[in-house]
Amino acid sequence: MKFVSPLRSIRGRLLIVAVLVEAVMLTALVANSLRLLTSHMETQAHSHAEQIAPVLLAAIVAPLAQRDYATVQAVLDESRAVKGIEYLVITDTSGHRQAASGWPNNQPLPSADRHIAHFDFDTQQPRHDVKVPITAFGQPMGELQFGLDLSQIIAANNDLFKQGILIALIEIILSACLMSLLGYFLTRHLSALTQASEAVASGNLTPPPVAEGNDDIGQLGAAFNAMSRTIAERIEELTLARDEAKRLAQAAEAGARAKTSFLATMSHEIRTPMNGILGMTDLTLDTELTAEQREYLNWVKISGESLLKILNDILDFSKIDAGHLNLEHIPFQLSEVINSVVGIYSVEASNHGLSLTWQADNALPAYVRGDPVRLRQILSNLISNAVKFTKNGSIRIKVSRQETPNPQIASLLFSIIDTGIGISDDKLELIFTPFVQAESYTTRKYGGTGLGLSIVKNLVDLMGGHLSVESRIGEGTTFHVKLDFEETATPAPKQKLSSPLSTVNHAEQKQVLLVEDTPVNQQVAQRLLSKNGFAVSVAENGKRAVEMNQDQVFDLILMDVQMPVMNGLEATRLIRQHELEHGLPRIPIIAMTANAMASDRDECLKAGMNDFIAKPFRADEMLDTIDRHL
Amino acid sequence: MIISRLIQSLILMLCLQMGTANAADTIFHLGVAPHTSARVILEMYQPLRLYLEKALGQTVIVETAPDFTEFGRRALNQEYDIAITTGHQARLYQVDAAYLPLITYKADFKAVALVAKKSRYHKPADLQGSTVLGLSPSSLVTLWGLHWLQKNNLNNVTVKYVSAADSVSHQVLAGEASLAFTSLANYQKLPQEQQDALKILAESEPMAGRVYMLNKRQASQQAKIEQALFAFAETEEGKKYFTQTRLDGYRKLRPRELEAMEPYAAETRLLLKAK
Repeated sequence: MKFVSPLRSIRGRLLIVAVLVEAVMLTALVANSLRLLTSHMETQAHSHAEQIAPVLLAAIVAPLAQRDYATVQAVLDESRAVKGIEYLVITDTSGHRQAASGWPNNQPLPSADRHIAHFDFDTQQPRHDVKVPITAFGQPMGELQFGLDLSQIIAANNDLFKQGILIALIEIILSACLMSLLGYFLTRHLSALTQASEAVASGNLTPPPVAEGNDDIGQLGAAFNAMSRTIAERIEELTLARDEAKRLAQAAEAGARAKTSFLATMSHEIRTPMNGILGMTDLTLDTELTAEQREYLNWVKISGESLLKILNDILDFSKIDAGHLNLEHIPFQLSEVINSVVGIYSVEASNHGLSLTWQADNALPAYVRGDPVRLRQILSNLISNAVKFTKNGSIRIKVSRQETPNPQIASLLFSIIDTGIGISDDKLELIFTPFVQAESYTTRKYGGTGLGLSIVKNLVDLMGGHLSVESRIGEGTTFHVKLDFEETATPAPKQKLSSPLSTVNHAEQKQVLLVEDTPVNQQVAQRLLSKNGFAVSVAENGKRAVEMNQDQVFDLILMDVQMPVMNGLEATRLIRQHELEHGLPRIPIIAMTANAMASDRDECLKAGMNDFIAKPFRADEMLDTIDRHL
Repeated sequence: MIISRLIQSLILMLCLQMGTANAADTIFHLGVAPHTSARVILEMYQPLRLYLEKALGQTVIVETAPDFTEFGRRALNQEYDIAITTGHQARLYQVDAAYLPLITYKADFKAVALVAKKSRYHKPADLQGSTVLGLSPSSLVTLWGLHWLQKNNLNNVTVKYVSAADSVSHQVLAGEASLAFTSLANYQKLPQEQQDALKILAESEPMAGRVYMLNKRQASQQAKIEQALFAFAETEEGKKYFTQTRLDGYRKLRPRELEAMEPYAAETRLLLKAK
């Protein structure tokens, strides 16, 4: 049990105050009793002296007048026999000591006391010296001096003092015990309440109930119990809610995982055949075809790429939604990104009879640090959107630099201005909602998933920027994207862009091991690589790839991930282990998989691969990637 | 330091002693023979004492003695400046101690023999075999009483001496004694009911009752003292005193008035010598 200072408890304070008050009162009582007793006994002594003197004088006047000093001496002796008189001395008018009893004749008499002051006696016997003139009918006859023994007063005083102190101490002790007992009975509920409160403070939020009653403390106890019950109920509710929230969170997490897993599976299962469709279409388009066949195949390719775009949008949205999208922070040339996007959509805009231009103010930095891929995606989605909803007129991209307190930060405002159909005010808030378009017939008329602007909004938010829109029906729409980039003087490493044709020459001697289980994709990749001058060996699973890598020297391995017998990740780990064990140089291994999620890329790199190509891939993408590692 | 304090103390004590001695020397002792109780004597002579103090310019104290014999002894020892005593002792002091006679009271001094009216003692012969009371053996009334007993042939009467003059009447009335010798003045001072209960069986001739005798060392002041005494008698206090005591005032002693006391003086001298 924790020690509590008496000064901090009501009981202790009451006890101390009561004992102090009682001690003061008892001290006053004893002191007053002593004073009264002393005063009374002094009065008695004084009265005694006043009584003694006349009697003695009456007795000695006659013998003194007769100069019968023997009689006087006898009177003195008899008077001193009475207890209380210490000595008696008679001196005549000439100052001669004529009779003395109890006082040596050769010893001078003490001075008479003016008043009784018994406390002045130190070592001598307490005594009150009285000197009385002897007169008879006006005639001075001498002086009588006697000493009253005050030892009785002193003894009584001492006895009273000792007994008073003893009684006072007993009284204080008894009172302290009584007050402690009373205090205990009065404050025990408070103590219980304090212990219960301390229990609550130490974490036990549902302490045992304290005593209740009709008095103040009892009502306090009832209120505490009610509060304690409420807290317990609330805690139970919160616990249940927390458990429910946890369960829901776990369910949501499981759902998210399931969704991610489903998306990954769906992505893989769609991308794999899409890779075959697009790859074969490209290969076919490279053959000699009739105009009609070429047109049909182009439509196949356009449809496939549209399907892939939809698929990529869905995957991007899912990644952002799941928080799996990681931004890069690398230097890049701003104008190059804008140019590339504008270049992509210039043809399409031209086909729609639209002019697509961009302009920037002079303060635009040449190089910034950020994620060029996501910037390109933002601009692409907005320009694509503008092209889609603009029948005639123009699409302008304006880039301006905003003022910022930090000169190292380039705050850029990208404005995509079209002269399209416009959006009504009541629909402006809806356009960033996933799977929603401003008008229901929009989807039917213009197509699209409704994810583009939602992805833009999420990406801008993710990059710490701000997206806004102004629009008028029939006049057009302007999207403003404000993004901050760190200005840098370091130019972005120049990407080694090479056309498939350019790789033909220097890749002739390169040995590429293609690890792919799907026959159509084997064919697409093998044909594409062969067409570009690579010597291609094919392994249908990871185990076979490991074996072939040990038997033959390759310059690069294109590794599928999901394969029977042994997947690409396991095969890569074995190849890296083999290289390590045999001191061989690390062969570039590029994942080429339909597992296009960010986590898949991470797993590939973690397993020891050098790069990542998501299926379906375009030929130039694959060749660019290969070229970076050869 | 200690020595100087000792010397200072000694000087102080000497001064005190000298002061005490001087005080003792300047006190004028007015001795009154114990013809009645000491308290009565003290009370009776206070007016005179106060007057003499003023007149003489010195402290005057009234004192007496336990009995006449002791008073006589002290007087003969020159212890009184004025001795107020009976005529026969005054004669003794004059002869034996050179005291100077001053004055006496105008009222006659008579000795009386008192008996209780209701007693069986109606004539001297009735006293035969009884006990009578006297004051001191050397007092004048006692000596007169002894002479009276002899004159009445009362030889087998027992004489008892009582020091307090005012108590003899009580004892007679109480039946403790048949007769008491006292002075007429004392009788007259008794409460009336006592006087009424008593009867004077015999009364002496007028005698020199109380005589003021001046010690020879005060001889130089005799005239002054005599003058003061007579002046006192003329004061209000003096008149009141003499009225209360029925002594009528002072008068000078008549020629040979003291010498007439010689027989009683001789007996007193013998008594004192016997002591």
